[in-house]
Amino acid sequence: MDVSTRALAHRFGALPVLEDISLDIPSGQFAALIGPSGCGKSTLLRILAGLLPPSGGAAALGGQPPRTALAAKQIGFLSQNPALLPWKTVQQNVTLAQRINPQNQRPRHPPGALLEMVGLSDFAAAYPFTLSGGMQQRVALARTLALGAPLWLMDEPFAALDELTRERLGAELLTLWTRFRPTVLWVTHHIYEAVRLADRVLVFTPRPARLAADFSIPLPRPRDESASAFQSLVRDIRQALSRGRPAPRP
Amino acid sequence: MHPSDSRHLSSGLLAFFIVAAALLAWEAAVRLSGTPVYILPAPSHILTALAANPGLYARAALLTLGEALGGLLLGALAGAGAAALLSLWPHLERGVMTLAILLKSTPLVAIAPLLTIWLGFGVLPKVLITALLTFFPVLVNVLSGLQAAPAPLVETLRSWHASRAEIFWHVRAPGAAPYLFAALKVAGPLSLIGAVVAEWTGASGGLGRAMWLAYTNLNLPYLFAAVFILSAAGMTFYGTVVWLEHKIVFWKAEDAP
Repeated sequence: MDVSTRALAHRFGALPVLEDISLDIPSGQFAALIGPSGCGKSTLLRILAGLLPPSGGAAALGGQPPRTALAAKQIGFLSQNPALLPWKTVQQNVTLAQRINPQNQRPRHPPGALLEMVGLSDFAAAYPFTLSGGMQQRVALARTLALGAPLWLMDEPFAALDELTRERLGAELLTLWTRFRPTVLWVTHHIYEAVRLADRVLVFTPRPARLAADFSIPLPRPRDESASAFQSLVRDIRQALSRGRPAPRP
Repeated sequence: MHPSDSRHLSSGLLAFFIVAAALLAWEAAVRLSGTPVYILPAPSHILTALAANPGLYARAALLTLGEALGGLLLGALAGAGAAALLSLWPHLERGVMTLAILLKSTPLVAIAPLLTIWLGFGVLPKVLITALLTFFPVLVNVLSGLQAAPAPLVETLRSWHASRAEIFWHVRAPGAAPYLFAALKVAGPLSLIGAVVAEWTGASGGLGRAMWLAYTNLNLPYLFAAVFILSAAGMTFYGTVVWLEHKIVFWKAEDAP
């Protein structure tokens, strides 16, 4: 599902958070959105998810307004909080997405297969509070897979996890993306992670967020972080990020 | 044995010893000071009165506890039901809450004789008084529980285009369970007060009626015997609520041991 925005803008009261965002993300692309904390990336994602109407401009998912895609359950939305129901088992949490709004159902994988894809086969009957933060995010990932959505909007889903867990989950996300080929918009703070995983890195300015730079990452996967092409992309993105910031006082 | 079980057990033992020590101190104080029984009977005297009339007290207790439980059930159902309505249709909140606060602010001791006049000496006015007393704490607590649903959970369901009813059923209602139990811990003992006070205004039986008769005869051991039963019943109510909470809201217990 392709994503496009035209002069998208949003303000909370008098506070502008997004300004003049025009983007085109083709179907099946893995795009990383990177920018300073609090710059408005999450707001952009919530607008695209149809959870927040923008103050100005327009967004389209597959040529239709986000609310239409939302109503058809075509959006997998993941945030830093795994948002699991504490009174439901892992398996019940994974199948919850299928039981809500059930008239919009796509052919789907059995819950056992979904849990296997995220490496949680042995935890179907466990409750979320018995799992680590990384495992809870895997459950949230399996729940997104259960939707069968063609668009994944991911708002720093692994940010609260430790470095190693985050790297492992990033690699698994890539595997799942390769297998199902959804369009991914993935908000992150980590330049390395963005270059390691994404097809394309969109750099945003501090609030109000504007598009500061747009990098495509032509490197073949799996990517070698020590390669000079990788390093120079990281350097360029870092520069683009800091150009967007106000100059430090002398 | 689980470590928390032994902690449970030792704190239970401790509570038992404290109650026993208090009763012994009471007994000793009454005997040593020679306090007359029409002022303060010794616990042994009270227990003797209780043991001398087991059938009478059992019937009275059954009636009063039945009224209390029935009223509690009715009040809790009405309170939780009203909270559910208010959470599904928030624009009703102001009107309904004003009514509920008015009801709550009216002294029920003042209404109880009226209900007895209207409805007679039977069980119904007692159940209604108790329901009126327990309705408010359940309404207020359950409503805040329903409104306190975590935003990420609600947003996740909204991202699947869940209806308001689906969000209520899957997120809000189960999330309000801990609040319901907090309310029942207050409303359980309140229900006994409701039933007893209602009986004072006129009843054909029950512990409140027994207390009233004992009071008019200055028969303090009989009066205290009824009080002992009520205390034990109040603790049992409370203990049952705590036990049910532990069983039903298992995820909270594990969260914060």
